[in-house]
Amino acid sequence: MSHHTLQKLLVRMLFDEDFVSEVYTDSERALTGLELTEAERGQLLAIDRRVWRHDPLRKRRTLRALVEEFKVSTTIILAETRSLASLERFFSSQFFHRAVHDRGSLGLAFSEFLLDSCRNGAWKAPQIPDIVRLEAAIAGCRRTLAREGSSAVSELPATISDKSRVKLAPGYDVGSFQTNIIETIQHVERYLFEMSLMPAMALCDDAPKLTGLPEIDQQKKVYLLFGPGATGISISNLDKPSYLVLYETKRAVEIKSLLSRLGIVSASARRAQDILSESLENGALKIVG
Amino acid sequence: MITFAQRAARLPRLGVGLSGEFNVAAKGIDACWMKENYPELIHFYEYGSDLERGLDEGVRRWAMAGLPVTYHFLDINLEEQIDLDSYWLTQTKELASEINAAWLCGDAGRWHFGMRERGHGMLMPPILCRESALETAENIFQIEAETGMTCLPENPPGIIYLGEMHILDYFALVADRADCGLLLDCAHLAIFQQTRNLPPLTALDNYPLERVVEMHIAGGTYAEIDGYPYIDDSHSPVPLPGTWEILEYVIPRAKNLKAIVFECEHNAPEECLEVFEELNSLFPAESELKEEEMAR
Repeated sequence: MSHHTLQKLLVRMLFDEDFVSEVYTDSERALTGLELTEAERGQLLAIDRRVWRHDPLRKRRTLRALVEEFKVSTTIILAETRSLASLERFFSSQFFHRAVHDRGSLGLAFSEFLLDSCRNGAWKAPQIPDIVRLEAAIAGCRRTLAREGSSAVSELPATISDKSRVKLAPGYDVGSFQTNIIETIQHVERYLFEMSLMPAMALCDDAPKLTGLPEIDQQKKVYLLFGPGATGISISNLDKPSYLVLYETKRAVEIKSLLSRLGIVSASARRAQDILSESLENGALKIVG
Repeated sequence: MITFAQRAARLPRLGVGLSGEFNVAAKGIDACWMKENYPELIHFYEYGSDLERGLDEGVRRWAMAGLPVTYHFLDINLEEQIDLDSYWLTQTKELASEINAAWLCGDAGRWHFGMRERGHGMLMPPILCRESALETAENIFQIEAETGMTCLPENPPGIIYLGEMHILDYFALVADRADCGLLLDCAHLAIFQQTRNLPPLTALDNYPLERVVEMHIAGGTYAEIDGYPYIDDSHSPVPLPGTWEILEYVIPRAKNLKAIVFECEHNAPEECLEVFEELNSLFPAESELKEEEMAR
């Protein structure tokens, strides 16, 4: 086994006590597929089992970093479950283990865990899935922006033909959500602000409670554009035709095929062309190879 | 090709220094304040940071005053080649150059698991095997080649060490392959020896002491989990006896030693003065050495 695989295994064990138990009680099964040599297995199992618990705050510190990006959804979840364990379950989930093993993003794995828990009925508030999707979209934008480049509007080529391919620029995304999603976010943020004035209030019976979330209407949608702003990723409203055009550009697509597809769906070709032009000019779209 | 010995001869003797991290002055020791009040005790500042946080106002003030600095990275997995990208190299060089750092240094292991991203931070020692040592050596070689700066790998702290090698043998191999200098953290080494039930000076006889350019010393705390005893790398103001033993053994034998850092920035200054005085008597600054020579 390479030292890289061994390091990933250590990380998984440092975060997940259930996994540690499995390794010590049934190492054959727990370590399947990792191709440890006998010597490595011996070294691992020779570690005093108590050592894995030496940093009891490790999960909390990591959770804190994750929750910063998912603060609205996790606040609603905690208000509903009143249990930290409901979030700490993440560290025993396949999403955590896969992210560590595949060198993936823990933040995005956390969003998958939250969405999966919604699907499995772990929490009931109907606002949660869309809030998670919105927070995951912002988290995704931050990462593509950091990975793929600056938000500066790149220079457009002199000629753009209908055979050119377009794609959302790094740091941009679009999504459709429950109409009152922004109100819900503001509602939760007001609550969090109030709690931040004196966090020890949480200990009091008469502490502020997170109640009265705006009702949702699944029939009505709001369309949002995420993009780089002065202080991070900003959100702005989109009309439906713009959303439909930009949605198609989440993956690189030829302008000709995009226009023909959209002509059938809804927006007129002329309107779609205008949307493409505007988006190329303001940097939300880019021409790709 | 310039050898380590040639490069070491050009490095300045910095004396005893203080460590610090981003915005540490707000909650710990302000290096500039310390220098102003105890100029004879600290002679350089080791600033620890990462690309996300960059330089703080304190280190900029220190550097503006023309005082010596070293840059301690907190965000590169030296054991993992995929982590060393051109962005990290160029940006780190830029930060270090801005404060005119004498060299780069940092714990050689893992500062994060997976990609460099929020929530991924976790300092872990390397797996103590030959393959890991060779990969670390390649990364150090690349850092030195691309930044033009000396890069000193440091033996990191840990309670869990995997691999068949002793940590000093691991770093001896790294230094040999990369032809680089070393940063020996005496407190981390004392912790390692304790985890393996070894005396503090074990394996130092095979360790290339002539490559030690910098040393760290810090306080530790005896702790236990459900009865299992270990040393917490707490950076308290009182170094443990094993840490002193290592330091005192190495200083007279490390012919290229240029700097000793007392990692104590989260304590009150007055709690740390005694150790600073002791370190200065063991390892006087260049100016004091010259004065002694003149007097003779």
